[in-house]
Amino acid sequence: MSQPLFALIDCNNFFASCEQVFRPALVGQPLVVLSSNDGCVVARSAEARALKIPMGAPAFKYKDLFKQHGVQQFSANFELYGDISRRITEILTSITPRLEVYSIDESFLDISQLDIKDYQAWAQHVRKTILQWVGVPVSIGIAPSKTLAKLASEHAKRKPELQGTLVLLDEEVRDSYLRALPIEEIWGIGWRLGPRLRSIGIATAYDIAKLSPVQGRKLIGSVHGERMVRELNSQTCYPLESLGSEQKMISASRTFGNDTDQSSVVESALANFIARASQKLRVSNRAATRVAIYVTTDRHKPGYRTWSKEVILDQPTADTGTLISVANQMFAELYEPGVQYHRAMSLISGFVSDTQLQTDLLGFRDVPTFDRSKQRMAAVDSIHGRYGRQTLYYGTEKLATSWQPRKSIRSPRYTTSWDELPRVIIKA
Amino acid sequence: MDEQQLEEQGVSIHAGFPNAAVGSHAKTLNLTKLLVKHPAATYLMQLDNNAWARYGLFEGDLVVVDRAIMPKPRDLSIWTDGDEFVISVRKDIPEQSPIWGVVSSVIHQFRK
Repeated sequence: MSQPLFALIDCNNFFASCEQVFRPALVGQPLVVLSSNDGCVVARSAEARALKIPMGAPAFKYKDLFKQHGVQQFSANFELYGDISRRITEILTSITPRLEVYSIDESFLDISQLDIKDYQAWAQHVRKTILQWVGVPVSIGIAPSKTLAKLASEHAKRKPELQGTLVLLDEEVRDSYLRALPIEEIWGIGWRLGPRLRSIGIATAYDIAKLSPVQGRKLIGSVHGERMVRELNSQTCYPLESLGSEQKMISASRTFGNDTDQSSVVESALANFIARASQKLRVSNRAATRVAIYVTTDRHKPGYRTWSKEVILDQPTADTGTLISVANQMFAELYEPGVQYHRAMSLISGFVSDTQLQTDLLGFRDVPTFDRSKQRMAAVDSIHGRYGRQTLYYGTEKLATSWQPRKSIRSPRYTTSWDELPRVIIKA
Repeated sequence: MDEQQLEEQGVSIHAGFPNAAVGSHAKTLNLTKLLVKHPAATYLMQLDNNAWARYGLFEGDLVVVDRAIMPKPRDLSIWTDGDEFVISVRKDIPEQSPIWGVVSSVIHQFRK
């Protein structure tokens, strides 16, 4: 295989941009998206950023500022963001199937196999296509390593004169950018390692690139440090990861609308998480071997407590019923009457491929049971596919719905709900 | 049992020409494929009033909007006026107004 060449396509202020697609008057306005409980800021438009509203800011602390500057607030509308993200992935997949969806708003492409004469022009073309077809502005960084591609896309995002794209192929150009980059802003250094490196005279990405791989190991930490040095020198250490292998766990967490001492509310939330997670597993033909739950009281109230529990299953499974009953048994064991639960989280991991299971000739696993359950779940999924996900559910999933976030200022699900399509008017 | 007896018991015998469809790909007409040429760039909207009933466009009709095609002067297009989506013939849209997409079809359902 030849040397890869990465293009990182990174959506600018993704959630905020999605809201602006269907509210064109809000383009150029300060806008924030709040987490599901409207508790804190999870996305900001460029104008909200300019008002120095930090990421993760608790909304109540900034109420006055929001009011003063007319900052529009939205509850996170993940159905909309998911659909817009899917559209972008579809466009990118049509360019090359060599694609890694890194997160909801970032994808790596390996473009080494494409016949591109002018990378700058190509990147501009992709950027324009996504902007026109979907309406979301993206930044594109192109480089021989993921670390450099990420760095390039960050520069492209911040410097208007680059018009959203930066190619780091030429060594001199690369080094000039590395010299201008403080170490704290490098992917994987952050604010913890920063001061220590500075104290020994390493201040920019260029200083790190000039280290030997061995020094990288020593100063930054084991394999990761060595790879960082190599990646900054345009050597590929992190390959493109395919869809299936990338996700090592599926987790979901939610803060309850109101704290609750009802075990049924917590059980219902866990069941909901797991129903979704197990469906994701089945779509990718995998099964899980570990299930963990984590519940807490309110951190800001006296007597803050947390509980967690994990089990390793005898049999890998993707069966919703099995996984829900495991999670709820764990919760039953740690449940204490009278405790006001604030937050619940579930995490399933230890994935194995379910085809691997069927060919497990050594007989360590109960293959017939697994197959029966797989057939049952295939039937459940086909009903979900035809009639929407919530047609069939396990008893506990619907026990209580008070845990669900208050969707007070959520925008319509413009692209995924027949009842919430945008309206179009006629002006005579 | 001969053929006659079998048929008397409700078992039918198939003979003669083979079913032409067996073994070949079952072909169906796919409306989505007809109406949506660029799935990643296509959005649905709903018409808000009856002002164009004389052209056969009614309130509640589904407007299929394709953002991947460039509008020609006579194309029905969607443009934005503040926070409103407006439908007009391309040549009637005010100069400076941003074009949001091109209407590729309008679907009117007589029964839902």
